[in-house]
Amino acid sequence: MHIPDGFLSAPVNAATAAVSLGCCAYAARRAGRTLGERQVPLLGVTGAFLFAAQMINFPVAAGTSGHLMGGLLAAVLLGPWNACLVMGIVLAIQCLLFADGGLTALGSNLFNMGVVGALLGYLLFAALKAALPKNRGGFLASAALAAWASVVLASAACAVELGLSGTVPLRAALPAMTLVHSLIGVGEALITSAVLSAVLGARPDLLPSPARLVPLAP
Amino acid sequence: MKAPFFLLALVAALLIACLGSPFASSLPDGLDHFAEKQSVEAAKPVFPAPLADYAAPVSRYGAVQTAAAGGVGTLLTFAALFLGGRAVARSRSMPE
Repeated sequence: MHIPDGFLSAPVNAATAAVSLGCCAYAARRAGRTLGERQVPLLGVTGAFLFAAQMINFPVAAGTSGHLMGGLLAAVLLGPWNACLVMGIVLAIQCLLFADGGLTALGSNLFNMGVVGALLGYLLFAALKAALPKNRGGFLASAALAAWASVVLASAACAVELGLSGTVPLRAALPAMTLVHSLIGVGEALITSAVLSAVLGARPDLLPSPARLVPLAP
Repeated sequence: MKAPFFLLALVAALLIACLGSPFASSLPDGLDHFAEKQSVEAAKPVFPAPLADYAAPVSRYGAVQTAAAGGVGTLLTFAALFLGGRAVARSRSMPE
């Protein structure tokens, strides 16, 4: 769902770019205060995985495919603000080197996938985790549901941007985009929970402390 | 640092990008499909990207071009975040 040049109006691109830039600036300052050397390898491989996985489109319905977005996955692994930075780097490289996403739309893509996908997605994840059982199943279910929702919400944001730009009326864009992305979101949920499950199995110490799970049985 | 896990993760990402990408679905993604139906066309990119559309001109075989582009992008992303992150983390622990 990388928006190319020409889909959105200049004011919409400018507004989303301003928000995205603001979030990245805050995230960068925060990283400057809190990023530890121990987190750096995870930062690197998460970005690498996101880049790679975003290349793998899978068919979802007649004539349509989807791919992992990864914002929520990165947020669970690295924290929401670092995830925003990771998404920014991935999108910038995709745009500048591979013409995947327009340069004028970079702010919109980062808004949808970083601000909505990672930041808002993480809020949903935290809320779900608080409500669900505090065990491995509850953790993975929270991540899966939040991952699914993050994709649908990101697509809704895109639809709003298309509507505000005058490119496509919102009443056409919103149902169409959210419908197909509710299918793509299933893939996101499955991949997210599979990756987190693997990390939990191999290196549970990598997950931020709230994920240190209280076992269900004494 | 327990390198093996991160090394394996990076290798996994590279395998996905290089071996998986030639087999990825070529169907348009959700946004592209919708845009096609609405006859919305992208503008020409404002500048020429060197490896546009994930094709590195290293071979006459499309699959190899895609795999090479995937490898480059994956490694570049890793390097940018690893080196950048390390610089940030180290500048934190340096005495002023």
